[in-house]
Amino acid sequence: MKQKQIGIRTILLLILIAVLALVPLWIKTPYILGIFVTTFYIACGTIAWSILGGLTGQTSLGHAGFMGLGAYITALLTTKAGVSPWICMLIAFLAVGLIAGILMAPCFVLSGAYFSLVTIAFSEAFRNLFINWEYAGSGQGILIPIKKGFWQMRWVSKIPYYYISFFMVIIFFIILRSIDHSKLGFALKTIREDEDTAKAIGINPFRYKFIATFLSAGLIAVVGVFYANYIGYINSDIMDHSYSLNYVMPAIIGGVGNIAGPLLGSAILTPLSEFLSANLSSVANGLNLIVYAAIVIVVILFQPNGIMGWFVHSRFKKNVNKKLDAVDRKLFKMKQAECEE
Amino acid sequence: MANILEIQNLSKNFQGLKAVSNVSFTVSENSITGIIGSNGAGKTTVFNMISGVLIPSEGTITYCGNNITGTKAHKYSGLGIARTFQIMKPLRNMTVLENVLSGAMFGRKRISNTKEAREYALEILKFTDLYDKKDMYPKEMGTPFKKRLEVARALATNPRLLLLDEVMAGLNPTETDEAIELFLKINNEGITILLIEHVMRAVANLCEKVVVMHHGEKVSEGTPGEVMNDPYVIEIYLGKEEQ
Repeated sequence: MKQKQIGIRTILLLILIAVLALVPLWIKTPYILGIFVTTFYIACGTIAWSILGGLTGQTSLGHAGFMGLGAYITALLTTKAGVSPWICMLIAFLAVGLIAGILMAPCFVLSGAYFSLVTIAFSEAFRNLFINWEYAGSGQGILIPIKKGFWQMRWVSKIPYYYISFFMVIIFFIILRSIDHSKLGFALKTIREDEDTAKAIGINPFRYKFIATFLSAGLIAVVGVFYANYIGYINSDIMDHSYSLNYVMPAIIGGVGNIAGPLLGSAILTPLSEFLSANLSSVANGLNLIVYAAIVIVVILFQPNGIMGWFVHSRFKKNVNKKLDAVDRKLFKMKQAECEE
Repeated sequence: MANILEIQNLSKNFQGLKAVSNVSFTVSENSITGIIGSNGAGKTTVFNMISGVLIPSEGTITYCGNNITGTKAHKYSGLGIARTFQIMKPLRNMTVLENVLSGAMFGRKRISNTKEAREYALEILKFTDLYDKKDMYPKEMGTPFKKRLEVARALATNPRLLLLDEVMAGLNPTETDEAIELFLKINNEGITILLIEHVMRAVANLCEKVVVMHHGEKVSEGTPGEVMNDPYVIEIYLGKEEQ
């Protein structure tokens, strides 16, 4: 690998980040800002999911359970003990990561649908535990009262949440990207493609699946901490396994196995579902869900590898790369343009 | 020459079926040894036991003087034993380079630095003539290259003993010759090779010693010439002449 040079790709990426960072200056409507925040935290959740589901190929449908655990950790610690949500993020990451790793460890020998079924069972078990646990508010849930301030992670305005979630997306993506390029990432990807091959070249699948589960569940618990403080109220419904699909669908539509897939998928799907429910649900009850489902089905039918899965092998990518390289040569006089993502 | 691998009285039962029964043979260091036999003779089962995929019902496997019977499959490449699979198992969503990179990062080399691993992987790709295909995905290449990729990934783990399971099946004569050339080159680097093969031309050209298996038992052992003239082996392959 050659040394990294600043090219047009880096500049475009920085422009995108800058534009997104300035969005709250123009858009003051809480509704629109809310859609942005939702998109961001769904993107974080999808990235967390894809460490296990995308890189390692273990399709978990129980991530809502781990996210809910994180949310409950912060709700309980903040309301009962006055611990700052920022510290809760760290506690949730470590605790939920360990709980998930230890619980799932016996299931690592399962593959495909069997693993998914077990993960659904785990999230349902957590949900039922919290429904019946009086200390944690049982079915009523927990209300997190507003105590304004940075340390409490509570504001009336949506703008601080916008920046926190935006920052989280960047951090989560950097984490995913560095895992993808590291030795850990290669181990996970090899396990995904073929476990026998992984063993044959000296990868211990159990160990790496544990690490992947730890990171994946731990990171989604951090999203749970953010969610609880953003919404201000949680109940056990957030652990419902249908909520897990919020993190699975964007990854599948965006492209499982490609690190940009989860980001792209959630950037498309979350606003789309918000748009549809705002515009179509008044026309006929449930029409928005039908249209949403139809769009998802069409994408999966024609692009089973997701949008990024198609893009990576497409001629369109080559054309885009050529054009960007041409710009690079013109602007920066590079002999051979660096190929970033 | 010292023996790198010693197989003693190896047996494997699958419930009622005795797939391998009482097989013993040795592989001397820096040699090329072949296992031949008809389909269902138990060759791959022997391989799977040597590479730790299956645990033998009886018998011992000694590698470099250490008993490694029953060691877990993922520890073998660290010992210096690498294998390929009869049914090709390329890492489908990874490029050729990344396929080999995985091998370089684990195995006996254990290079943690991505940059170093990449350089090493490129070297392996040059060695196996896959360099110009490094950015392709396995599905974009033909069978001979996929087979080569299997070998390259195994080589990247820096083995002392390479187990090749029918890597020449499905190749045409020219491709077989190229493969033979590659294996001789690998052997010249000091890597011992144990291979299963149906292509007799390849076996005759490559192997110093051949083990013949039939119905789970070893029926003959010797140089290719000796084995091919063994009346029992001829009987197994071609049937008995009517009196």
